Amino acid sequence: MPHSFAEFTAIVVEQLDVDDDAPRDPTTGLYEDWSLDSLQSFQLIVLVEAMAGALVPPAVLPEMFTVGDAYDYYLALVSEVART
Amino acid sequence: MTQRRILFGAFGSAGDLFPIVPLMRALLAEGHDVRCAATRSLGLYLRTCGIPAIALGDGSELRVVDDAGIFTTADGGWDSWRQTVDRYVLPTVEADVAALRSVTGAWRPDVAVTTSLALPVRLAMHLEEVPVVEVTIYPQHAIAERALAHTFDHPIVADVVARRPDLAPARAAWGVPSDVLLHDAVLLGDAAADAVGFPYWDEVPGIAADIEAMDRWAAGPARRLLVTLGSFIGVARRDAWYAAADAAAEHDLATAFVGARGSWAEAEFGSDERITCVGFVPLSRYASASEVVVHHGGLGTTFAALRAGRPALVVPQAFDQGDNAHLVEAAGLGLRARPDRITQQLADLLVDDDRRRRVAQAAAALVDPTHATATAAASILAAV
Repeated sequence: MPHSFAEFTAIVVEQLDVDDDAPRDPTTGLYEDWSLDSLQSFQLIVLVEAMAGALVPPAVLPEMFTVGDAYDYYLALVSEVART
Repeated sequence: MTQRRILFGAFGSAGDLFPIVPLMRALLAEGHDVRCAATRSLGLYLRTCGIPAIALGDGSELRVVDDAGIFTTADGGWDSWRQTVDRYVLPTVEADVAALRSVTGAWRPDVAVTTSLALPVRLAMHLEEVPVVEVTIYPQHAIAERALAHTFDHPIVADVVARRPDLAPARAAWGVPSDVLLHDAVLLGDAAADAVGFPYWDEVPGIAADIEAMDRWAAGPARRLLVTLGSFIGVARRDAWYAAADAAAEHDLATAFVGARGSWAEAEFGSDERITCVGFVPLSRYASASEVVVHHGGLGTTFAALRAGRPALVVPQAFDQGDNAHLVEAAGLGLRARPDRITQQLADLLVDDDRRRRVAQAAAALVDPTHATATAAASILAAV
């Protein structure tokens, strides 16, 4: 059962050390609103793929600009893992 | 040409992965089916250069930047290697071995190529009775007695040794003795009998803004200094940046801090017009623009400075870096930093033309990376 958006966001906020009072909407900008730097953006990809249990990650790195993008990527990976 | 399925295994930092990337790319170019099992963070690099990745671990290796205990040169680097294995490899080794056996059940490798810390790949392939070629950048690990003294008491290693009586414990745990040593006689001297050369590679695309900043730095009129602590140490250990900043200021050098990433770097150095802070940029493109390279002693970075013909001031932090600092100093190619003398040591290196000539000669004597790659790739295919 995949994490809900709220659960997913809570995990990511904690792991990436984002401010607790930062916005958490699907349209929240990872860079504009959360001020992720380049290291944290890579950490986010690793975190999302690990959360989804993706053993063979996609060949191409994802582009994520909003929290919603990150969640969509997570759900896509969960579906792919379940399918395989 | 018979197409072979070749599984590589890597664990650690970019420095553990980059030397085998040319091997993987060469074998792919020959038409072989190549995949690499690596930690998720290393998998990011693999995916930028089109190498299929299989994920090891759970991403916890990224917490190493907050793991102060790892950064020690104690016991010739074995303290940090042992901590790395204990904290970041062993916790998921059983799951990783099971996952690899599952993945390779549908895609059985003809040969596996493992690097020193890629324990799950090594163990899984031994259990599957796939030939394993051990590739290392750590001649320190060849001292089997040291490896055995640090062999970990994990049931899965004991299980593999029990099932494979042909396999010595040091080979099962650390891949010792290795089959291919990626290193060079210019640094190792007489100890380099088995070294095939160092297949230097750093063709990861940097962020455009960082490349632009470095291009401006390299084209500037001032004397220049490049400082790097590798792919992750500089995020965790900041003292070396401050010491380098002080030394650079003393000599009025336009300084590039490569790998000083994060908001802390902007806060600490953003107002200093002499300092340019960037994330990853290829050292092969910029090291020659610096008069001296200050670095942490990672082997790839050591060869980057050497290939650029630049003397090095080495500030070792962990793993093999202390040994590499010693090799650099012993070969007359730079100095190992003494904590209270960095500014003076930098001054000495800036004016030492004899040393600069020595470094240029050493650079010319290095085994060409393409040749090193070809030799290593041939060894891999010979094992099939």
